[in-house]
Amino acid sequence: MNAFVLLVVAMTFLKGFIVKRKSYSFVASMIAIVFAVLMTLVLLAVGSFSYGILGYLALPAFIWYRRNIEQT
Amino acid sequence: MKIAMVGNPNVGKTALLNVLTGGNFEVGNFPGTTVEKKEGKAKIDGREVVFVDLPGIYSLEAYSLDEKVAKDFLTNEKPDLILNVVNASNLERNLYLTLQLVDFKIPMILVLNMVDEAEKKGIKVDADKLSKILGVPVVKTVAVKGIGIKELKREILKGGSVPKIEVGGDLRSKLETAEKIVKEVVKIERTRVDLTEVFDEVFMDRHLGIPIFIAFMWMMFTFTYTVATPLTNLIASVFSILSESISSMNGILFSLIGKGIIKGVGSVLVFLPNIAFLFIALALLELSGYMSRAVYLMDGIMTAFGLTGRSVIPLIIGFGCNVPAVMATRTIEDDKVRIATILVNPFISCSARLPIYVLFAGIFFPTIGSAVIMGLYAFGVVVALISALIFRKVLLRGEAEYIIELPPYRIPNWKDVWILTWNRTKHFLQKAGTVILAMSVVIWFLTNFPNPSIDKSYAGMLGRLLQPLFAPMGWNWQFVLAILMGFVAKEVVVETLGILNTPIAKIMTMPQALAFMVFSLLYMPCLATLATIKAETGWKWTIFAVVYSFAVAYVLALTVGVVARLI
Repeated sequence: MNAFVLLVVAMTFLKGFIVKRKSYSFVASMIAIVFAVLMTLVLLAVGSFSYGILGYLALPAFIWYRRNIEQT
Repeated sequence: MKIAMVGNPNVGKTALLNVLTGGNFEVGNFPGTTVEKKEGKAKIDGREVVFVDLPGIYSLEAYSLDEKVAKDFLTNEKPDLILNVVNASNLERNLYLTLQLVDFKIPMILVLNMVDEAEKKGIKVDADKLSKILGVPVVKTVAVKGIGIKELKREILKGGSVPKIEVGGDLRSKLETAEKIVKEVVKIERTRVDLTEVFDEVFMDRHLGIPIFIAFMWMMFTFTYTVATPLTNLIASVFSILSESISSMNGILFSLIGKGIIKGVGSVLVFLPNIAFLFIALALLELSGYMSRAVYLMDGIMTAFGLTGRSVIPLIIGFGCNVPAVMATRTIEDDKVRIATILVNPFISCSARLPIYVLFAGIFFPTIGSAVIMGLYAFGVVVALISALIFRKVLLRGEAEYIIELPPYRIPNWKDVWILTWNRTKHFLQKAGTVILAMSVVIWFLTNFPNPSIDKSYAGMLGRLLQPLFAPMGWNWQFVLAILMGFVAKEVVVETLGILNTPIAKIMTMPQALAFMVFSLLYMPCLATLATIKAETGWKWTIFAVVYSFAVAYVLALTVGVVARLI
């Protein structure tokens, strides 16, 4: 199911690129960050690693889209 | 001084009540959080004031139970003052109710709440002009931030004014007047992009909406099951040490405390972190405004099964506890849809059933526990929907329509998250200190008398007596006894197994465990839920709920057990 979440994030980014709407990339990066926070908690709680932690990499994109959307 | 707080759903009446009274009433970000009137007392400049928070309503036509509650209160109790709380972002629709309140000729103050959100959207309301038109004081507030409360208290002490506006009694003239007023007092200057629209574009996307919803649900169950594990283990070790050290002492009293009370209550309290974490996740989803989008997303599915989008909120509340969920059906206007929603609600897995899943999933599915638990929750929803379809096609036929309002997205306020989580968790703790404690004494007695050997105890006799009924599932008598005791409260299932010291992994197979979890999910509502169903629908439907849920649980548990054995 973790892979499913990553797939949903990827699909949301993809749709954003296809329909050329920033809102999709903005929400996708937000979900990725929320999932990364959750996976960090899982790692701390039970020591189980998930690639979902890499969702933190979406943080710059999230900030960029947030500013960009507000200015639109 | 008695003040009635009246307004549309989700305009911040309860938040206003909390800030005026210093109370801790639950606040939501979806329509229908308040289904009964709530009272809060406060002293304003030494004067005692009783605030009555009425359920959120769109009109006083008294089509639904919550509208009837509000109308009856205004007609029979005759409050000294009405605080008409309106959402500044959506004045026109809110004013329709205001113009109905005018007919009561009760002094009124119009509270223009959430002005910050309106301003963010570029909506500016001329409060002075509105006050002149209506002939009542108008106060701008942001209840959650405490803005405008001093001014409001000042106006309350002045006692408000009886509205002076003249408006026709029919629906059409009220709607036209509301539209005319808004044209005069509202100015819209669009400044920035509304983030609610940005989120809605994605969360309610035709292709991605449902997958995103499933992803959020998965995150919620991972948070509930996995992240809570260290705390669960910690509490388990504390209770285990306590129980062993006390029961090792000689004497019947030490046996009662150690093996009965501490072991019994401890076996349920162990799951407190799981339940608290579930409530935190639900509170975040509710307060952020996402839950209402879930309602919208599910509307098509609900309609296909004979329910309406309005049924989704009681069903979602059912994940916490079925008792408030059954009460939340009061927002459903159509009586047949309402009864169908009540009858299927116990199939929605409440938090009391979570300890059963966590216990069995931990033993039989240690690596895929979250997925199994999420699967059980989904299975409960599927059974509820199919049952609803059967009810609507056979017993409760008819068409139904509804209107749903989508609140704006908000960053959840931590105080509100805490109040929601604490109020719900407190309910679980209260149960642990009352029903579960009493049941631990009962179970201890049944397991120790007339003979301390468990096989010859009353518990053993009772379990064996009922065991043939569940023989097709292959469950040992201990599990049968646990199910019987669980009728009082579902947590007692785990408690019974704990007190009986049942070696679950040794006397149960994986298919039997799966069947047991399915049966626990679906069989008879607990006593508190039954009492609420009786209060809301009467004896006929309550007896039906018991018989139907037991039959469904039996058949499906048996089927799941057989299928799992074959696989």
